[in-house]
Amino acid sequence: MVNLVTSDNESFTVEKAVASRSVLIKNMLEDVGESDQPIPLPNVTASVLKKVLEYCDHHKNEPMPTSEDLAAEDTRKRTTDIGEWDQKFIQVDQEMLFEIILAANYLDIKPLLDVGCKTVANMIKGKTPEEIRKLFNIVNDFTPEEEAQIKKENEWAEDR
Amino acid sequence: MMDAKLAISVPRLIEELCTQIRPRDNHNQQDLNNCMETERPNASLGLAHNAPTDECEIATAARDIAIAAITSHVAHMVSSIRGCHNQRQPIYRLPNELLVMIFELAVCSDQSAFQPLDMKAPINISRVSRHWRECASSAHTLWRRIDSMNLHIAHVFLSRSGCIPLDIELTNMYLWYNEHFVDTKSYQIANGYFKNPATFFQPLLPHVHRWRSLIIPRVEIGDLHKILRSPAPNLKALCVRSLGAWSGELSRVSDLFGGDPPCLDVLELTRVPLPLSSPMFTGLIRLQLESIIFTHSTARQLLHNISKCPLLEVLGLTAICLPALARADLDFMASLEVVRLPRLRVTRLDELDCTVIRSILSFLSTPSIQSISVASDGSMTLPSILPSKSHLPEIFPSLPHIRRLNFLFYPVGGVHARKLRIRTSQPPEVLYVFGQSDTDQDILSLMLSIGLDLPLVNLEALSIDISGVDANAFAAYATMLSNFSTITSLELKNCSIYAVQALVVTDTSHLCPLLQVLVLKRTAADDACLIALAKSRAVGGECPVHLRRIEIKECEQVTAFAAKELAGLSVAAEWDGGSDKTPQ
Repeated sequence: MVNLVTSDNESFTVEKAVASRSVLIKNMLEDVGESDQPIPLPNVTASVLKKVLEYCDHHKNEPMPTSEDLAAEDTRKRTTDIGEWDQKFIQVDQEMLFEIILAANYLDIKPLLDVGCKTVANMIKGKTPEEIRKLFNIVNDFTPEEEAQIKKENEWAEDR
Repeated sequence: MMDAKLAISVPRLIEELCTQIRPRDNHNQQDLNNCMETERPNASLGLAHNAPTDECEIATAARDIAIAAITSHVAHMVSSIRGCHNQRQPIYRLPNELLVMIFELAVCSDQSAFQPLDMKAPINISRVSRHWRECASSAHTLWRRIDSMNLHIAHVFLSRSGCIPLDIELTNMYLWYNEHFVDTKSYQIANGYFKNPATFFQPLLPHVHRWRSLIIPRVEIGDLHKILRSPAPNLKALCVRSLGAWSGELSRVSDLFGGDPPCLDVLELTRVPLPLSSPMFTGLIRLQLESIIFTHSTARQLLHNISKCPLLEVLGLTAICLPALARADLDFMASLEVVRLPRLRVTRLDELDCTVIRSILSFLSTPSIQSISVASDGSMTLPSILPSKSHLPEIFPSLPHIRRLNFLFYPVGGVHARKLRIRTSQPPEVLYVFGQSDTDQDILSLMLSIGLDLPLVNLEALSIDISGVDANAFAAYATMLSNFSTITSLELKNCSIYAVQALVVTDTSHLCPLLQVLVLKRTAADDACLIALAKSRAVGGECPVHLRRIEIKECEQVTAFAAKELAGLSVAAEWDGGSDKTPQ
């Protein structure tokens, strides 16, 4: 078992196979060897780690992506298809969604990072800028000069 | 003189205006404009009413400059405040590299050329906010794709994509016009490109050295020579279609790419007779040729090319005509050493002569194959297309691992081509065999040979979906089952009552001796037939292995009586109550 300590000082004891879905933790375990020392995760809160561990537990028996897999993915046309379980798992509010993405990035869990990024990409696809702003509570912060530049691009489109 | 006075007047005016603006709580640009309209600048500047004209002009110019300066300043402040608002939003916590990764995913999977531009990544992404625009504009990979809908701003894409290779697609907008996705104007423009591909490629030709993939869904021979006239050293995928068949093979093939053909990974040609002697046919990962009449190229060249593609993953040959194909070629093909293609997953050989199909399959060794589909105009049987049994493990090495066979065959009236597709699951545990024909003879011959010419020695479960098992097909059906003596589970879908009756054990017939589970779905079995079957296979009978369970789904002729009788025979019956009561 592995003991993980979050930024808000909460402790999680999990199976090694679950924790090792994180390349960061896996490398730490390999470096440290057999030890009861808790592993501090200063960039992850308890609520986020709980979700991340839920993902890792569900996928613990799947083969880890190899560097060859990752290279092959880059050369193939990438899709934003997400598995059924992963889709349900990632149905969280935006706050949590982005925290999961950040945690997956920090903990180096590529498949979870993919699920998070694909989810956001799917939210963006096929939407107008105004719809995207509304979705993420972003406001138009372009300066007049930038607006003019964008308008110019639009004019090129309209003047076809 | 004028400039000097302006230099003094502008700061004074700005100061004056600021004094007026400051007390206001909810000032905005409109307020400012109103203010300037109602309050005479001359008075506030202390200029005399009878000042000379040039003094008035100076004051007016100073006012305009001041307004512009304040407007700009306010706008930048507003932009900055809004930027601060954005910084507090959850999505702004993502570092730039993750944001770009998300943008790349959105762009890669949103390649529909028919979408209006403002809904199409990356244009929409770059117009959301300053930060997003900065991130998107600096990510070259977002801007590498140029198609009919963004060609008019190709210079934006060409500059923002830096120097990375480009993906270019001339889009067939007709496919999307009726889907209400694209407005009439965009359709007309894009359709203009479609009808005249040379126009589309004109602004892209200077960047030919950056082309990575090229999709041309309609081209004439003259246009092709215009488009592909210069070397494209980075081109990896070339997909070209012609609307009509060209007469003869491309004669000036050496002119293509300035005589320096690229090393392609993907080559897809439809009705474009590129001679098989071209070096572009070698080293491929994906080769698809369709509806091509070769007049000089030979089957030998085709096989030679395939042998020069050791990394081939997909091979598709549809309606390929090789007039030079003769008995000698077939003999030659038969004499060739088998070519091992360790990565070949999909083979599609459609509308080819059975002899050619068989020769090609006999020529290949494909340890990773997942799907083989064939179609032919003529009568097609498994022995006529499959290689010899000794070669079968080379072409379909996963056959001994197959535990389940899903066999689907349906008659289609008016369709002349017979189709047959053999596909495995991944990992290879299930084999799917799909057949389609408009004649009964084909289904009979397929049933007779499926377990014989395509042996599945470790099969445990068989699912059959054949509507044509009638009295005439009874013998063929029985023969097929006799070839699958190892199965313990049988599913019959859309079958006639004969398919069930054949399973009744008699003194002369005992098909599927290890059968334990029978599933009937939309099958025309009745009570009497089911009870007879269960009695012949129930505990206490002569069968060493007993039928344990029957699942009955959407079988209209089965009643509660049969379900009750089966329970009395120690056969667990799962009956859905008939089609009227089938749960959703």
